[in-house]
Amino acid sequence: MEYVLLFFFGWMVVCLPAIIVTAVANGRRRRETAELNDKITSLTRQFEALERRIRVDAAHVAEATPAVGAVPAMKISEQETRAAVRPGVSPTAEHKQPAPQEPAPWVSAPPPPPPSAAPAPSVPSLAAQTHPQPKPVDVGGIPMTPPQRPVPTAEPPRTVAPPPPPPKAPAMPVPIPPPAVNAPPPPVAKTPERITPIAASGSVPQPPMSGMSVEEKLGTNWLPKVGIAIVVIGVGFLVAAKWGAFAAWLRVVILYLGGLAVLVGGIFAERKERYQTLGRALIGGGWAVTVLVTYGLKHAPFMAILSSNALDLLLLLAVIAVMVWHTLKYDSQLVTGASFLLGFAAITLNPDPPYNLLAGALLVTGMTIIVLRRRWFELEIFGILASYLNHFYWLYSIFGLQETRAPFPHHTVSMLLMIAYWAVFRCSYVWRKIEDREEESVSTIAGLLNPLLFLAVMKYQSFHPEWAFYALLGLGAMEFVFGQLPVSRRRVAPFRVLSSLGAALMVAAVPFKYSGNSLEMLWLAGGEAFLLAGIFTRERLFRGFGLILSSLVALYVMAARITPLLQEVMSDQPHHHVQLGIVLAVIAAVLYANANIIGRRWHDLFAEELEYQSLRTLSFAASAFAVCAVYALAANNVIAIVLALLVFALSLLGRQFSIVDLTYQAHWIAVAAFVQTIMTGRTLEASWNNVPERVLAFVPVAALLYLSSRYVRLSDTLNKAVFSSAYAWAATSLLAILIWFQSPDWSMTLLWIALGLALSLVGDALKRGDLKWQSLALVLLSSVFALRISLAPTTLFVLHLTYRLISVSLTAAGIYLLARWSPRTEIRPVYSVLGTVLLTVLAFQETPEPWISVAWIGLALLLAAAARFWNDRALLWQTHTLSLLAAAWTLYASFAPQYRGSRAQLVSVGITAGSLYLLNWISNIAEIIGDERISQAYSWAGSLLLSWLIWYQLPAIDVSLVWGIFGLALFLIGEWKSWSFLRLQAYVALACSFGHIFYANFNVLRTPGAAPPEVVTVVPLVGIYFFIYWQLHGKKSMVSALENRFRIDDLLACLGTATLAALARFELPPDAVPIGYAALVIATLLAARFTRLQIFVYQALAVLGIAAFRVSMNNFYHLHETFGSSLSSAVWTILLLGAGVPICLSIRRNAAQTFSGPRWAALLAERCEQPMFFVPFGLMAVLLALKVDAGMITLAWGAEAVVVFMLALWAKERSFRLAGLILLLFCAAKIILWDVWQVSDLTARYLTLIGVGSLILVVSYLISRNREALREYL
Amino acid sequence: MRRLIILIVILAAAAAALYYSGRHKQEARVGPEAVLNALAETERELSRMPAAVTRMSDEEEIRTGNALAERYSAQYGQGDALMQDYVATVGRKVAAHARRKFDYKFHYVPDETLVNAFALPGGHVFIGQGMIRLMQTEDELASVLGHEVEHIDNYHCVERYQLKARVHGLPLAELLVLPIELFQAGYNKEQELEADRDGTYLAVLAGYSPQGAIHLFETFQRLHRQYVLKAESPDQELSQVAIAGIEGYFRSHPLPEERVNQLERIIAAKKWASVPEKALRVRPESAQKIAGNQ
Repeated sequence: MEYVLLFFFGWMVVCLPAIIVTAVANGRRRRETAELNDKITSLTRQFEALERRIRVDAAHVAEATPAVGAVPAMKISEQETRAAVRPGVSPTAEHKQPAPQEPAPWVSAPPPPPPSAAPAPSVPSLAAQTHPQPKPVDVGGIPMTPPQRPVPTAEPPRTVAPPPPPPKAPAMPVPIPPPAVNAPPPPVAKTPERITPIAASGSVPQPPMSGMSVEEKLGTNWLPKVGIAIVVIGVGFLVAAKWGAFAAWLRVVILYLGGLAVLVGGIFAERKERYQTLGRALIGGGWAVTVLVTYGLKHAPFMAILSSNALDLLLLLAVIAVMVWHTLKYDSQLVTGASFLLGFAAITLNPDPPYNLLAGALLVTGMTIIVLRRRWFELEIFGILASYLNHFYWLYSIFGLQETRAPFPHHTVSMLLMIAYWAVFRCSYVWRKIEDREEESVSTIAGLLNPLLFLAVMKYQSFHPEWAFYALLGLGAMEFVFGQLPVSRRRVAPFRVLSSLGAALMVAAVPFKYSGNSLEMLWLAGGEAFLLAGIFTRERLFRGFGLILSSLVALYVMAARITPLLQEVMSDQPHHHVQLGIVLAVIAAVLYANANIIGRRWHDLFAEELEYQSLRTLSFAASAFAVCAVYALAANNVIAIVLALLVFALSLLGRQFSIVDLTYQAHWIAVAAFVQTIMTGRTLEASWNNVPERVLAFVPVAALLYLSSRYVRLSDTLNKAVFSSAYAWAATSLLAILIWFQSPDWSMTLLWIALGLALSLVGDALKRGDLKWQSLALVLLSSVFALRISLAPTTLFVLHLTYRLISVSLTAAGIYLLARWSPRTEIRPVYSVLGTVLLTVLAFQETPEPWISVAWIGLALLLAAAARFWNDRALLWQTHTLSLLAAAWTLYASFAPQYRGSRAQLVSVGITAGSLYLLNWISNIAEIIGDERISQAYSWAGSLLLSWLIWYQLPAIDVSLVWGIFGLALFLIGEWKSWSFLRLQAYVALACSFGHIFYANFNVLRTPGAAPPEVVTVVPLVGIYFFIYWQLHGKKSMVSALENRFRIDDLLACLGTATLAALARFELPPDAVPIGYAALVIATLLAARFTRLQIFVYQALAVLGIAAFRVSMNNFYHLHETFGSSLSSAVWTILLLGAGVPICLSIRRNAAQTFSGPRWAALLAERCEQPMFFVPFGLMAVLLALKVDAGMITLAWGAEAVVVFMLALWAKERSFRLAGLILLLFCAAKIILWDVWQVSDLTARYLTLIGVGSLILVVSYLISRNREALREYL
Repeated sequence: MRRLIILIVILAAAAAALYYSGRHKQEARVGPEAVLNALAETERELSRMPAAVTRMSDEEEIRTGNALAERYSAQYGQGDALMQDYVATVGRKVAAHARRKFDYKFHYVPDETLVNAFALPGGHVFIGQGMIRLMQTEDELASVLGHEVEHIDNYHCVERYQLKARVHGLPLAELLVLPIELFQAGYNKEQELEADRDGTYLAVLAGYSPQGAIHLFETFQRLHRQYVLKAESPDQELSQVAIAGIEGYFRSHPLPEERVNQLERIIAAKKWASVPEKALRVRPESAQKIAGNQ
């Protein structure tokens, strides 16, 4: 009984996809057969009508045209030929896509040619070719047409016409070229051999993949493959396992029957275009199962009924041969490739030399023949990989058995077999016909892969390293010889590939023989030899070799020699290496010579872009070597100077000989010199003849850079003015840094100001604007340091004057003076602002605290007077700024606890306030500046004081509400009087009211009861915010530009929603907070739905993100807690969010509006159903992962995927369906990558695999079945 | 007109709210605690995933905790063995139901100025003499020990430094020099409330009354009002020195009222039976009242 049950169960599981496919396909086929018959009848009628028409047309042509000779004038396109020879196997596809798939040239025939005396002889031939169709045979009760035989190649060649016009406009004849009797025939894209198999397969070509949606590709193309792969793996486990108490032979029978059932199901399904991929996957799977079982006849412990390895291998090869023969019928490279993969796998699993080696050779040979005949060059790549890797695995297992890498009995055979592999693949590569670039590219990959894998595996099995030189040399020579064969030269690509490969192998052989010598010089010499040979023989290939070798030398030296040197330099270690320096200098000189002497002398030889650019690159590499040589040869304290000299020399030579590359190289070396000067200057503390060494290091470098600046400016390089200025900037920077190093703090700023003064004068004299800009930079630098000096403690200098007072005030005076030589007039205020800032800070530091505002306001009075005197707007603004500062300081300092009620407070505030009013009157600010906002500042001050009063007078939890009411009042007045500044104050008050609730209302311990006062006082604020939003939104034309710019209305709406969100956050129990958020999401979505206001959609999306974050980062982490309701809250939240999807769909379908805002946000808002779906979808997946038992997660996810897929079909949303599909695929991947290895029960493991694979196949079938319906949803 | 009606409704609602607030006086302290708590909670939420990814192994945690505990214990030596045994007995009973199965070790610190209890990674719980002196019953002791066990159980302890240690690649030796005050300082509000809930549950599972925790928090509440909020008289100000530990405790912990509220809600929801509280069987030696009204 157990046998029967298990057999039945295994049969059902394995054959389930085939049974389903077969049953459903049968049903459909019966329905479609009737339709087909009707259509065939209709087509036959049309065909006969067309035939009649052709005869009539031909008769007209014959009447009008004299006899044209023997060649038939009829043109028959390739597609027509196919249509003619192909039976109507898949009329559905033809019916659905008539235009691109099945053009009807006769319907859209060209205008009738001149009448002819005789009908064109091609017509009968076409008819003769069309009529002898194979007789339909009966398969499964359905009349089917057997595969076509290849079109006989012995037929006379026919002229092939360009593709006919599409039949969309049959009434509009499209002109085509007249019958070209004498014209050369257009090139035929495909040979008859290539056409034949496609026609012979009896199948309709699949619709172009590019036209398919991702979902369709997934469902009809990938799912069958994934599903069958999982099933086959499951059967693999089944073969290896013991299941039930069956006898071995019975297991074999059961599994063979299973494999055959899948195979038959696949053959049956493959005949329908709709299920073609699924059918082919099943065919592959069926064969795979058969091969696996055959292998298991000897090797599976519970079903071994054979004792001979040789016999098993023979059987395997026989099965594989049949398999290959069968799969070739489908003309599918993939299916045949998979068959060969199984063949190689069988040999790998059957290590019984020499049979396995022999079988491998046979497979390779057979496959190569198929490759050459079918032109499946991609398959050859797979074959190369399989052959060598298979052999490698065999060697690996041998060494594993020996427990050491030592010679083994079949070493010679193995070596010969490897050579045979190489030779077979090489011959295949050389003697093949290539038709397009793509084929050539694939062939090139194969051509390179062959020797590389050959060498790798040979190396693995070799035991004589000393032979490597000869092996490389020999292989290189062979490759080179292959490259010189006429057949290779004709195709060009093999000539280049094999010649290069041969040369490279021969050159690479040298280090194996002569390791230990100075390779870089040797290679450099070789490279030079190649280069010179290439120049003198004018052979481009040799020049290329020379340049490549030079580049290799450069790379090698950089990696092997320069890297340690740079490490020494970076780590401040001694790096004086004379020998290395000389080597580097020689390389630099040689490369410079190649680039700048040879390259210029024989410039016609290097005219091609690649060679020209290579020379340029080597020139730049030479500059790197030169710099490294300096580092290796020169002492530390002179490196910068030598580098600066190099910069000078390069810029000079570049200018002199018009070699722009030299000037460019000078640029980066200048950077190095600059950095090196600073790095060296840090540590130079000694003096030489009372002159600090630092001065001796900095000044020459700066001078050389100033000089180089001139030559760079005169060069022909790009952006020369910019680089020239950069040199001058670098020089000035060095001098400024020198001052920083050498002078005391208090005089440093004065020296910089002096340097700036000098630069300004020189710049003025030489008309060099960049020098004035450098002066400005020095002013900025001085200001910063003067500021630092102002803030630092100081000592007395003389009388009551401090160092700070002297330094800062003189610096400020210098800055005011330098304003005269400002580089641009419009930036002159920068100088006065800096001076004023310095004096302001100085006053702050030198005056007692309560009197600071008095000092500032006094300075403001002076500035105002000066502004009036010179009519200077900048000074006037400084006045206002200083006045504002004084007022703010009064608020801050005079209201501090220690000054409350003091005389100092009274006087200082009084003087400040009085001076403010005085300034308002004296400077008459509004007239000069013309901006009313200055006077409006008083209003702001009043509002500020009033708000302050509210804060001090009322209980804390009432303050926010009263500020809100105050803001509302301000807004209403502002709206009434059209005073925007008053409305702005209202917005500030409202913002403050919002902020304050967090510090007072939500800071209160939650009060028991339904209406805690702290909440009650917050709720009316929401009404206030939304009321003002409503007012503003309705009167957008009345609001000011500022309000429009900052979108105050939207901000207020956000405040309202944020207040509600804050209530949820602070007043709900922690677990229930996301429910509050989710409810808010629904509320805002409903508001958006009924008011059609965009802001609510954006708010819903924002709150959605917050809710998702809260659920995932809080509730999900408390799912296992004893207390609380995190799980139920999370579920409710997800459900609530999911409920938002229909609302979003309604919003999208009912309000076709364009959303404003950033592009990404507008996109999200327009398709708000997407985040609204994917967030709960993801959250639910995570929740399931966290809460469901480990073994059930995949199932739960699968259930979620199915539910989502079903809902998506209902919602007609493609992305939702794709999400379900992807989750389903993920489940499959998880089962393979994780569950299978974690499930300890072997039976459960293979049953899981087979079951899931079957399910995927079923899903694939469903998608294939509903393909048209899914396309409609796109 | 509609605008006017809505305006009147809003103003009326605001006026009613102000009137209601005036009638139901609510003591409010203006301060950033709520925002800071929310920020701390958000920060913790943000760090949950990194913390889970960089989680230390139990072995590492135990090794670190043992070294820290050894360093800290060395300062106090072995005093009052009876009290030490008593604390360990109650602690083991409480920790028996913890999720993380560590070998929990309970240390009694004979320092009357240490009015605090804290946990170290790897299962070490310390309780000061000053804290035990505030207690009347074993149930209170169980609730405090349960609270600290839950700081370990919920990874609060180890998360305090593990993320930083992992991100900066600090070796274990550098973690061992961390000041113990880092662990005495308490955790954020959410973590403390979580430890309160689960700690009390541990005590209840061990057969103690949940009222012990409530009584202890009421004691804290009284002290909090007396010394932290209203320390106005000179003698109370002098007591601030001894109560500094409590101040540290209150600086980071939630308000005692909130903790009492939470526990009362849980007791009502779970319908925990009222178990008679047991008096402390052992009391610290040289008992000195540190709080005047104890």
